[in-house]
Amino acid sequence: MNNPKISVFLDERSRTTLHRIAAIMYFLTITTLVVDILYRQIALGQTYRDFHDLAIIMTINVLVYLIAILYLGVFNFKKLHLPVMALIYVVLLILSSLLGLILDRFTTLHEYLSYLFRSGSVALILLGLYALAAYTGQKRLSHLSE
Amino acid sequence: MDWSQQELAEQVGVARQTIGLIENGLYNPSLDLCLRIARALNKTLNDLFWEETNNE
Repeated sequence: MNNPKISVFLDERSRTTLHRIAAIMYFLTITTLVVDILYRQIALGQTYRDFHDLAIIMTINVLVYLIAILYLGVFNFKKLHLPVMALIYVVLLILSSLLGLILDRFTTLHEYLSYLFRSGSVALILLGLYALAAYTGQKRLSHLSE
Repeated sequence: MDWSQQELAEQVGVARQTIGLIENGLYNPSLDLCLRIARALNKTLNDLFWEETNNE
């Protein structure tokens, strides 16, 4: 009696296809999360405090995604320019303060300034992390390509 | 060399379908796989993958 071998294996084409599917599914998952958050806010009238769990998942996802992109050298930086980083920081600050104004509805200036200080610190830490990932990634790539 | 797709696939370590898709121009193999196919068939990359254009 024949004992048929299981002949399912992953070759390079299967792996490429799997990676492509994973990328599309990741995009769909993140998009669904964004739509869900918007639905909760707009249709159900929830505040973002009601879906902290989703916000944390999205934040970690985006954080890891961007760090991976920078570390693995998807973008090629000749040099990390300080003025460009300062500009990115200012844009992040403006965006987060606008978001705070829309979502938080501050009653006093003190509340707003306190929020601005917190979001400014977080943006600075994020920018530092991204710069570190990009720098170490470039170093790693230069070392590998020598 | 008169190999079937299955035999070539086994030689280079991929699925038969992958060889078929490469032949039909529906999958771009990696350079590593191109080299393995060329070695298995005892041909050069030019022999296997170079496309002659009509206007040359």
